[in-house]
Order: sequence, then structure tokens, then C-alpha cells
Amino acid sequence: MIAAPVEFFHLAKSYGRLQALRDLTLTIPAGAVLGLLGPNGAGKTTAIRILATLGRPSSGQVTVAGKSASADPDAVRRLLGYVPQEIAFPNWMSGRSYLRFAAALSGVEAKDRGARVESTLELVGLTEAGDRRTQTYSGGMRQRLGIAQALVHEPALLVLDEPVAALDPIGRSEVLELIRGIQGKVTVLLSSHLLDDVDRACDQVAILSQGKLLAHDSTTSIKERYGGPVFHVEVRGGAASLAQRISGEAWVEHALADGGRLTVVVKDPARAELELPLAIAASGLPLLLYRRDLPSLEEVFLRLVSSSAQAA
Amino acid sequence: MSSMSGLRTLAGKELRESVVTGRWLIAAAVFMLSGLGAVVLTYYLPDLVRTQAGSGIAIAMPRQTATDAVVAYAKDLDQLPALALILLSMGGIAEERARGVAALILSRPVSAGAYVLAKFIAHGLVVLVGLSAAALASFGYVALLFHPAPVGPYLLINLGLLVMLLDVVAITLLASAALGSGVAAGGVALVGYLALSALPGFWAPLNNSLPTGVTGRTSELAAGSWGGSAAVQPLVGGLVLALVCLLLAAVAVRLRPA
Ligand SMILES: Nc1ncnc2c1ncn2[C@@H]1O[C@H](COP(=O)(O)OP(=O)(O)OP(=O)(O)O)[C@@H](O)[C@H]1O
Ligand SMILES: [Mg+2]
Repeated sequence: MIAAPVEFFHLAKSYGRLQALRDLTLTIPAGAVLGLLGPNGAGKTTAIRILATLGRPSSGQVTVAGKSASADPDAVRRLLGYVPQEIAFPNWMSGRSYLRFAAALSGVEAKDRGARVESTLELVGLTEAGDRRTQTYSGGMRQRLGIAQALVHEPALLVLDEPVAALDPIGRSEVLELIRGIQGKVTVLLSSHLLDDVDRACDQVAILSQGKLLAHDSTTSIKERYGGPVFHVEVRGGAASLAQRISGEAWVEHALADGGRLTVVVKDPARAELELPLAIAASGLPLLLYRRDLPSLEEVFLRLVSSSAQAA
Repeated sequence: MSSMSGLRTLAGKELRESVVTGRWLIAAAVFMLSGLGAVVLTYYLPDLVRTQAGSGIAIAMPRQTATDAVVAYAKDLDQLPALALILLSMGGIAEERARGVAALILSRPVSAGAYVLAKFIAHGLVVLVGLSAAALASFGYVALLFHPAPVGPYLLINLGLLVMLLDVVAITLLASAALGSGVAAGGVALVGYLALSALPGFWAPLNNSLPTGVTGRTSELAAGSWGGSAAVQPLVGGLVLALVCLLLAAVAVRLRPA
């Protein structure tokens, strides 16, 4: 199947007086991998459930390849693979029989089903456990089966609500690897609280807070736009004195020394590029490393969400 | 997309679930015990009354007949099995929705109608098999202990029971689709079942259009003084009621899939 673009168009959802989503407008191009970030209660699951045709918007709409999730849910369902935040299977079914069931429901031809089920089990590492009842699965195995059932029919859009929360580090990097592997072939929307994972797997990031979209951009641009650059410096000897020397400067947000290493978050990158080397030279310490970096996604996230919380 | 897409796959899952979770066995046991129990109890009733009566008091207990046994059979199959069916099907939709199983199914290209109908088919088959087994066994016992009951009326009585119990399943599934928990659904379904059993007694036109029009006339039926085409309307009416409940359940699932 060809990757499908997704468009949220002035999407709003209220539960009584609580506005879970406010005027969310966001386009995910076909084949992009978008990480949806936001603190607890930001509205991520609400948006995802509407996209997955399970919730109804109060106003606005979301379309997949031009089909509206609320007006033409069947068309969207045919394109969709969905991993909900809380996943459950009929206890009595085995992983293998569940995948067979899921493939049949999504219209995979009977003659292709067996092979498709086996390759999907293999993909998520459940071949061995395939005949065990899902009741006996660990949390991580359940999450793997959840990802498998979303992929078994080769969807055009894969929507994952915190897909790696229950996985061990190996499982997590396997899933991220898998997502990177299908990049371009499938459009992916995934929500997660694990920002490093999003940083590694997603080429786009959208940050939601209190139902509002705070930022949406490519993973690199969002860091450039919303977080000042970070300078990493390493000197021979202790960097503490150097940190102290520059801490009061107007272009410094904060400076943190750890042994010989110094991390400087700056407010004014242009001045920092001029002043920091001078400060290092003035300290008389031998310079081992000097690098200008983008901030981590976590820094961007914290900065955006806390400033929006202050504004509210 | 047809309005019943996914029905075959969903019905297959529900049927396997019926077998794996032992629903068939429970239903078959309850149906058999109720039917056979009624027949056997009817046979021994005069003896029981005599031994309980003690000395001196003479109770005139008329000899029980095949008709009495069939009437008792019909009455008992309309009670415990109906309660068992409510218990077995009340979680059908509500629990799947609460656990998240429904979300994975209904986010696929399947219709809400197929989802509901698949459950009805599975529970309906449980009813059909349980009732058939109970009907056959009870027929044999009636023949053994009394004399063979007339086949036509006996069949009609069982048809009435079948429609009545299918209505119970449909009402329970509707409650399960409309409410948040299986227990709440069971409570509402119980009220629905009691209403279905009792209300038609107050208004003849209603009684003539619901399965109680047949199951409430077992004495006349068994005695041969009623039956034939008069039974068509109550049976069809009962099936229409089931259909309406299923349609409403599908609407409820469509509005709130998970
Ligand atoms: N069915 C519901 N009824 C009432 N309020 C709801 C319902 N579902 C969600 N909410 C509210 O809507 C808001 C957004 O919830 P949502 O589940 O979308 O958040 P989230 O971003 O997915 O959070 P988390 O990271 O904790 O999963 C929350 O305030 C939540 O309490
Ligand atoms: Mg959530």
C-alpha cells in the first residue's frame, strides 16, 4: 500500500466543560514519521482515537488520504494500523490465531494470510511464543503483538499510542529500528514520553499541551527554532572555574561543569560563538574539545511546555 | 463496503470463544437439568406430596399426565436458562469495550452490525443446541414416564421457547452495547426479561405479538385446543423484537465503538 498523508483540520474535542483538544491543525506528509509529544493529559490519545475512527470530534475533522475519519470511517479503517495505549486481546486466543483473525478482518486474502502472519510474528520476535495464549504474555510481549496486529495487513498509515512504554531497552530499539525501516513506505504517527526515542525514530515532531499544538516541525528545525544551541567544551583540569567565570554573562543561559567537561546553554548564539572561545583562552586551560550542538528534544520540550504553562 | 463486512470472521471468533470458554457446556447443562428436572419432578410429584403429608391428612393429588409434564417443562425452560443466558452474554460487548478488545476490532473495516450479529449468532447457536438437547431428552422422558406427547404442539412450544430465549439474548446484547459494564447490562437485561415475561399478560394484543403468546399457552397447546396459524404472529413478533434490539445495539456500537 502507498503511504497516506494525514490532515488534522481545526480539530476540537470537549468532554463536558473540559476541552481536551482545541483547534488542532496539523499535516503529516505521506511517508513521514511524526512523534506526537505532550505532558499527561495533553490530548494525544484523544487526537489519536479520533484519527483511528474510535472517537468523534466536537468540531473540525481529520482526514487520511483525503478520507474523513468521522464521515467515511470505513475508508480510513482500510488504510489504518492502530496500536492503542491500552492494548488487550481475547485471553483465550494465541498470538498466532489473533494475527490470523486481524488479517482476515482487514481483508488480507486467505491464501496470503499464513505467510503474512508468520513474517509479522518473526518481525516482532514472537515466532516462538506464537502458539501460547495471549493471557500468558508479558506486558512487553503484548505490546509486540499489538504492533504486529497493526502491521499484519500492511497499512498505509500506522498510528501508535505509546508503543514502547512496556518494552525493555532491546525491544525498544528493535521497535524503533522497525519504524525507521518502514520510513517512507508508511506514514507513522506515534506518541511517546520517551523523548530520546522520538528523537531517534521520528523525522517530525509535534508538541501538544493542554489540547493546543505548541510546535510542529522537522526534528532538526524544531531544536534550532525552540532551543538555543548548546556548546560542549572539554578542558584539561577542572572546568568549574571557567563555568563560574561565564555564568553571569548576558549571553549565557546556564553553564554546568562536570570535571573537565562544560556544557553551556546559551541565549545569544552569535555572541557565544565570539565570547566563549575568548573565555576559554583567558582561563589558560588547555582545550581538548569544542563543539556546538543542537539541544536535546527534551530541552526543547521542557522549554516549550513550561513557557506555555506560564502563559496559561 | 457491505453493511455486514467481517461477519464470517467475527462469527468464527465468537463461536470458538463459546467453545473455549465452556459456554456451550454450561448452557447445555442448565437446559438439560431444567427440562429433565421438570419432567421427572412432575412424575414424582404425587409421591412427594404423599410422603410429605404425614399421617391423617389426605390430600387428593390427581394423577399427573404427559400434558402436565410438558407444561412444567415449558415453564422451567423459560426461567433458569433465561437467567443463565443473561449471565453468559451480559459481558459480550461491554467487557470487550472496557478491556480494549473492541477498539482493535472496530478500528478495522468491519461494520458495527456484523460485530453485534456475530455475537448474536454464537449465543443463538448455544440456545439452539441447548434447547434441542433438552427438548429431545425431555420428549424421551415424557414418553418413558407417561406417554408420548403429541409432536406438533410439542414442537410449537419449543419454537416459542426458542424465540423467547433469542429475545433474551438480543435484549442482553443491547444492554451490553448501551451500558458501560457487564454487570449493569445484566441488571437491565434482567428487568427487560421480566418485562417481556410479565407485561404481555396485561394486554392481549401485545401478548399475541410476543413469544409469551405461545409459551403462556402451553396447557391449551398441549391439550390440542389452541395452535396452528394463531402461533405465527407471536413467533414472528418475537423475531422482530430480536431484530430491533440488534439494530439498536449496532447503533450503540457505532456511536461508541470503544
Ligand atoms: N472519556 C473521557 N471523558 C472525560 N474526559 C476525558 C476522557 N478521555 C480523556 N479525557 C480528558 O481529556 C484530556 C486529554 O486526555 P488524553 O487521554 O487525550 O491525554 P494524553 O495526552 O493521551 O495523556 P497521557 O500522556 O497521560 O496518555 C485529559 O484531561 C483527560 O482527563
Ligand atoms: Mg494517552
